Amino acid sequence: MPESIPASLIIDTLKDTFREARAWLAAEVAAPPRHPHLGWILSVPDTHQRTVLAALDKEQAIRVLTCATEDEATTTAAGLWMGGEPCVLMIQHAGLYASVNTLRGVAIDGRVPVFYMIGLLSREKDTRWSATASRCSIPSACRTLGSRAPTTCT
Amino acid sequence: MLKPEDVLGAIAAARGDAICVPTMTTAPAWRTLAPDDLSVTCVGFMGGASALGLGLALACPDRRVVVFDGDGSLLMQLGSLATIAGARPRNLTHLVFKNGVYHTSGAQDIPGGLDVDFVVMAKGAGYRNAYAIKEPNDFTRRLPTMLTEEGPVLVELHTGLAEKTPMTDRGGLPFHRQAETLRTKLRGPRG
Repeated sequence: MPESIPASLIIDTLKDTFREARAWLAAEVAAPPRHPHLGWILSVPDTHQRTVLAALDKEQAIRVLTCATEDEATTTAAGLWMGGEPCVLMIQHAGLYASVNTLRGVAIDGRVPVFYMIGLLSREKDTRWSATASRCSIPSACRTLGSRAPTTCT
Repeated sequence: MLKPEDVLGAIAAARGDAICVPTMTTAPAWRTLAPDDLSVTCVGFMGGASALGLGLALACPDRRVVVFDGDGSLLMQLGSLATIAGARPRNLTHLVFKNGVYHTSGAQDIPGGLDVDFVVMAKGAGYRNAYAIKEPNDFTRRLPTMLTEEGPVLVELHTGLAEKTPMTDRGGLPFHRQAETLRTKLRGPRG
């Protein structure tokens, strides 16, 4: 089993990302929305992300919404984006395949920026930061679908 | 039996600054009734209206969000009932225009036809309230409440077929322009 990124590091990075997104919004909007949280995680739970999800349960600054399907998570993300709320989807790789039409309608044709954090079916230590070298089909599928920056991390 | 255009006209007059999310056969009529307002049509990913409305409701808790769903559309993402119930958006009104058919594609029966009971499903999922309306007078009487009561609330509207469908009346802005426009409006001062 390859070593993993610590859950705490992922959560701290998510917090920084959400803070940055809110700072951008605050710079552009006269009266930015005030929420007690930094941002949203829309999750359809994934085995490979279970340690992060468990750690998120203890977080007050990040709201986690569990969705029944990845279609719903993607579409809910669109609504949150329109309302100025930063969010990240945490789903499994099979879920991306299951929701390809919604991904197309929302994130490609719809041009809504959607941040997916996808658990790979098999983690590969030697292909760090390389979408092209991964044996998993998701990175290449993402490029085919038009994703701007598919990146694999272990 | 309700006429969809009459329902939408009454909502347009009563909604105030609510965000509205039409889809499929409610889209052409709504375009005419509310051409320049806080609306975004779920087009290009059938079944997504309820979850799109959920995201808007969570992002904008001080505004009412009204989803104009279809029965065939909701069946495509039926799990959204549980997701919405779990999120408990107090400001979400989920209207289901129930006609028993996929009108846009040629009026084929939906699975189960008119026997499908979305009120029972919504209550079972955990919506705060759910009820059906079949008569125009009942709709008129209850409209103010359904636009203000604590959500999530689902209202099953028993309607006939709309006069227009997205196939017979094409037009309107593509989704990406609607989404960007709504995002811009929601970032501006509230009118």
